[in-house]
Amino acid sequence: MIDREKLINTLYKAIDEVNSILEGDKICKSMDTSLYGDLGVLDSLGLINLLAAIEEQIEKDFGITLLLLDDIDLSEDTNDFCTVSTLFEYIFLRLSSQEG
Amino acid sequence: MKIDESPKILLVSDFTINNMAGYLNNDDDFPTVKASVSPYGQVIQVLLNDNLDCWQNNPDFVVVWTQPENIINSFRPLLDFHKVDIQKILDDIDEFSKLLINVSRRVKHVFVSTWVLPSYYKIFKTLDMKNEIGVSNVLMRMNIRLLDNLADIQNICMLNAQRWIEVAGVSSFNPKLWYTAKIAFGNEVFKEAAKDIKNVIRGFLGMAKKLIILDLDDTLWGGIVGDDGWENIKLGGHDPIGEAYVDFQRALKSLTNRGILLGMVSKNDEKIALEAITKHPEMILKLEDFVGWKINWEDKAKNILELVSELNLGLQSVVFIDDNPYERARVSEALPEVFVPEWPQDKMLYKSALLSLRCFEISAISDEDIMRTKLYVVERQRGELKEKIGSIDEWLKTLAVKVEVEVLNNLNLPRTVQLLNKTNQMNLSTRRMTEAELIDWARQEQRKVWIIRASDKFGDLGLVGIVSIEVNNNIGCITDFILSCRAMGRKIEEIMVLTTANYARTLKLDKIIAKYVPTAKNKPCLEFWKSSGFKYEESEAFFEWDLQDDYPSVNHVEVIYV
Repeated sequence: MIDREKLINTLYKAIDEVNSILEGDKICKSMDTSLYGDLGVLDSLGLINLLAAIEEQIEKDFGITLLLLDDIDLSEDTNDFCTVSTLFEYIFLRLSSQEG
Repeated sequence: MKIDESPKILLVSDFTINNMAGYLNNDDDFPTVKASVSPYGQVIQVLLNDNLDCWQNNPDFVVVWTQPENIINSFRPLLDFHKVDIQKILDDIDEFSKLLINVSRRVKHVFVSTWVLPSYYKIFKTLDMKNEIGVSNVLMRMNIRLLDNLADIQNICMLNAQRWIEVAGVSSFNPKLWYTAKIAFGNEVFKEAAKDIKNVIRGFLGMAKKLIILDLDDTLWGGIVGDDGWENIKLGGHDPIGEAYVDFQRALKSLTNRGILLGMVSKNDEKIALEAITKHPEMILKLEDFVGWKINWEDKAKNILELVSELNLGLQSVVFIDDNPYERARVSEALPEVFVPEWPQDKMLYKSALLSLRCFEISAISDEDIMRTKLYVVERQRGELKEKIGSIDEWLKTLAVKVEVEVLNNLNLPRTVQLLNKTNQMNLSTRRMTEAELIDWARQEQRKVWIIRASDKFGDLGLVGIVSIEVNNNIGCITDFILSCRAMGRKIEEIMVLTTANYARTLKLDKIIAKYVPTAKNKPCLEFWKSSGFKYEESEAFFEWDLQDDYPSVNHVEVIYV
């Protein structure tokens, strides 16, 4: 079973990493932060950077290879990356299914 | 570019380089920079056409970072293991070099990163280094050709991308970032590159560190010399720690060949500590390698302050190395301008810790840099003489100071620009310029630039000063007034003023003026001007001399106008 608390920390570490290259608005580390889409702080390049950083951090923290970038849908109506919360749930589900 | 302005950097690349722009723009260390990115994949167009939008904010620096297989088309087939025409590759590099040289005329400095490739191209290990067919072999030749082509261009600086790759290790190349966003390198590579670029810019702005102040016990050698005796300190011998100390000392000594000065501040009995330095057979650093020391039982921060003041350096020029975290914390707190690096507990890491410090950057090395320690040692002898002799006039008479004033020319230009760009304390306006910019500025009829050389009975101080004047509406405005800290306080300042005053009188000008532009470091210049005899308009930091009066001549200094 994936530890939700641990996964949030993993996500926040990846956000820290991406914030160091973001110009202007940074990603606030809270679940309701808008990430991508109309209200989001990330453009497509920012989102790719975030997903790459999350993949790397999950590998480090959980020892699991999660492929987020392989089937990435960058259209702005993708709900999975809308907020930190939706991204978290998406990753949690993916990890859980991989584990199962 | 003024020292307090944020330099503008344009990143030109054939891959997505926005992440590096992010690292550069988010780094708060001095100087903050404004980095922008040129249109993706249009390297040649950007280098050729300065009407493009990306040039419109007049960048100070340009970084050109390309992938060899993209920018040098004739190299590409080698990656598919086809035979390539080496001469054609070299010809293509020559053409690319011309574009870079052309860009160097538009900006202050161009940074060009060397070409690197992911290691998976080295699949055939035995063939990789073979002439004509080995990917690494040809890539090395390409980099050497590029280096050779650009070697004589003063404002093009090649940066070693291979170093960034080595530091980043396995995360250097991230195929996912490449396939999804055409980002050629992992972010660790960009982080290192951004740090290097900032460091080089700090060097250009004269912000490089100049003096390393060292503790002694457990820093230069192992053990406590006062307790153990110099015969028993850990240094050299068949002992890993002893060897590590010798290596650390050797690394320190090597830095003196690049113009870095060494000093000592230690809580010790001076006689005992110096005895260790002079008598221990494996001591690499000799007394003459140190420009000064304070060895006593007083507060180290106070000692550093005094030593730096004696050497006429700013605290910002200083690195303090001490094994003791308490002493490091004390100096950091009392003297925040001093750079106090965290220091490893493991003595075997001392050398690598020293050589990993990113604060000594210089863009060129002059004979004077190599001789700098000797010049300061001689300066210490001058100081000792000064203490023996009472008045400044008497001291100057004994020193037999000789000053040569000559007009800026092509021969003295490189050293002049070096001095212009690194002098902080006795610097009226702290202008930073390239050789081309200074020559261009001086070319105007109403402007004049002199350089000052000095010597005395202890030796030659070399090119130590610059003074320039611009004439407008019958007023001579002193634009640059720069004197190396080694030469301050021996009436050379007055001779520089006198040179401009005499020149202004031959032109029958009404007055000369000097506008002081304050920086964090040039207070000594203000102090000099306040005592110069010029009328001081404090509200505008403005000095004025009416040329109806002669500017006083200077006694006991021989002046030769070349």
